[in-house]
Amino acid sequence: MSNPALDNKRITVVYTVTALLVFLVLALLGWVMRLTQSGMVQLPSDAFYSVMTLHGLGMAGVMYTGAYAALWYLLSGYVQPSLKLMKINFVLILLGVVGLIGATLIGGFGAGWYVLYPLPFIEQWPRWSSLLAIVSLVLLGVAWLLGQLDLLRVLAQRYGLGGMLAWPTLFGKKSEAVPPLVLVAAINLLAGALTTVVGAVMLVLYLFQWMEPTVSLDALLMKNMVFLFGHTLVNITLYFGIAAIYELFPKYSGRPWVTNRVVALSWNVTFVLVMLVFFHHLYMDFANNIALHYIGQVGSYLSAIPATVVTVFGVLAQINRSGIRWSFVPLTFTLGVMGWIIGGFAAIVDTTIAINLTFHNTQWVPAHFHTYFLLGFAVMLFGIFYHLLEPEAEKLAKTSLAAILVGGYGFVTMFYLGGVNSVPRRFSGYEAVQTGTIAQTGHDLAVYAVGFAAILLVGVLLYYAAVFRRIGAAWNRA
Amino acid sequence: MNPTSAGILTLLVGLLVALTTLWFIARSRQQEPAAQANQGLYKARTLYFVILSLCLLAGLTATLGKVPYGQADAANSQVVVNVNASMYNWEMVKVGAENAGELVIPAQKDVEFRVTGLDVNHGFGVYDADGHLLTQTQAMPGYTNRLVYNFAQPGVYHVLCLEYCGMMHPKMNTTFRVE
Ligand code: HEM
Ligand SMILES: [Cu+2]
Repeated sequence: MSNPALDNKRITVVYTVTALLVFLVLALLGWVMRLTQSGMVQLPSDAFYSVMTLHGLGMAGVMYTGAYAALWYLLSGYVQPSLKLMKINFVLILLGVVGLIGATLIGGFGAGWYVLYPLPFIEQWPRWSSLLAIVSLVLLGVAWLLGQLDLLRVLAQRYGLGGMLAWPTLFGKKSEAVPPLVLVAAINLLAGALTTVVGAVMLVLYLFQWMEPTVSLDALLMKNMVFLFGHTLVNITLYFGIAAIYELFPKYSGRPWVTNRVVALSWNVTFVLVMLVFFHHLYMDFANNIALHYIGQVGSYLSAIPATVVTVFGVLAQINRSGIRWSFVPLTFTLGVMGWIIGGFAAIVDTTIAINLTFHNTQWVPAHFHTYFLLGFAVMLFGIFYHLLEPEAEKLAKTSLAAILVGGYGFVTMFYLGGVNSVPRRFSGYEAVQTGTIAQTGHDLAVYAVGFAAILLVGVLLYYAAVFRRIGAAWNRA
Repeated sequence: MNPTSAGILTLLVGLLVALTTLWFIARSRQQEPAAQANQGLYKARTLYFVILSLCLLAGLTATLGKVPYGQADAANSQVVVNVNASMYNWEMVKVGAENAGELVIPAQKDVEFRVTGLDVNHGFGVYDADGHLLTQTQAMPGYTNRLVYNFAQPGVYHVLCLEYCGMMHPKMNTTFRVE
């Protein structure tokens, strides 16, 4: 007998467990990078860069996919997206991940996560590995795009195009507001779909370049395209997490979280901002149109308003004098939002063009994005997965959270200090640098980071011990 | 704002965010119905919105005038240095002094660097001898980025590559002298 709720749950569990396993491997690779930079492990630089590329692409991909699965599951409480597509996508994504592992760890492909043109096509690794990497990204892109379109399809069917974007609420017509989950999902799925199409075009151009080495593409145009796609993807990943929190927090606080006009307005504004702010990746390309640089900074600054005024105050309204019981899940939501804001502030600092001049491509960059991803988003996602799997292992889970926070904040602090001390990012080692104390500082910070990352990894393992405890029960419970 | 001040500012704001979070967690022990509990919060939100908007506006006005773009045209520099980046080498040639051996740049003059990449992207990062990053621009194939800098102090300056460009990226550095 078919039970749609159980089927939905099971496919989500499959995604969740896979995402957690992939995350662990990628986190270990991150640790290996810090070990290499500290000199404790001697990894040849070509291997370092393959690892870096896999870690970056893999983390961006697994975070997106995990967030998507959570969103898909929560939305399936309102609409029924295609279960079949979800299964097909799982296979596509798995193939993409296996392909990326093969391209990097076996083939030696190492162009970095934003595969800046024309680096993937310069012979430093076998040609087949570049092809495999591009094809794998195409597989991932296709799966993501189909997934976005499918959710948009069912949301538009149920709520209407304007309805899912909360336009009736926004423009004052008397109509029942959509749940914030639906609004935030629709906004970001739409932005995701639009920019994933651009990513697809870019990847097709890459394929063309691979087949026809004599053609030459415009490097600046390619860079604009890759960041329109890549930046927006990681940005909507975070917002998917926020969407899930809008939905789940009330279950723990007992307080409703509704779409009023302020919420509707701020997410509709975010729709525009989220596709414009990527220009801040191109500040150091003075040749890019100057207006675009300004759009990058103004847009990035503005995005702080909806994020804090609406989402942060929304969270505070959930907990303020609520008598809430601080179990693991609401803790991860609250502390995850905190990490998101701290990292977000560090990012805003970096989106100031005048400051970016001395922060761009220093360790300040991995500092801020690891803050909002690792201590923001991943913490929230751990909470969402815990909610889903219901392992009832509060004590263990809370212990794991403490280790993740202590290790995690220590780990990112070493990056921040690297940024403040002008230590470049993406260096496999610092021995060759003879500028001031950069080599010494870079090395020492890596040593401390290795220790903090170890604490963090212990925390992650404890969390796994907690959530995997009753996985069988989760499998059988709709 | 220099990197150290930016770091301190971030630390302070980070602590403020953390303390606020903890304060709200502590306050959640008390229990009131949502409407009653949050009256003050919504007032605070309006105030926060105004303050945040003012801060952002102040931040924009204070910093948008300090962008590095268009300076090359404005400065009309007498000293021009062509910078060609390739894997894994910096070729820096002062215009008009093509064969003069080691590059020497005059102090306290606007110097224009015309920076491009010959193969892949590189990052032209200019450091002082103590390891402070002073300024930078991208070295992108097919484009020339014009960066102006005025070196106040004579001495040795370093160039590090700040855009990942391949296996030997961390070894792609050079020095020049300012007199
Ligand atoms: C779990 C523990 C993690 C560790 C130990 C770790 C470690 C590292 C290290 C050492 C680097 C290289 C930094 C450099 O440029 O010198 C790096 C880069 C990166 N990490 Fe992580 N990371 C972790 C989690 C994450 C997460 C959760 C994400 C989610 C998006 C992420 C995304 C990235 C990306 C995109 C890069 C840039 C790769 C590139 O430059 O091509 N990392 N990480
Ligand atoms: Cu380089």
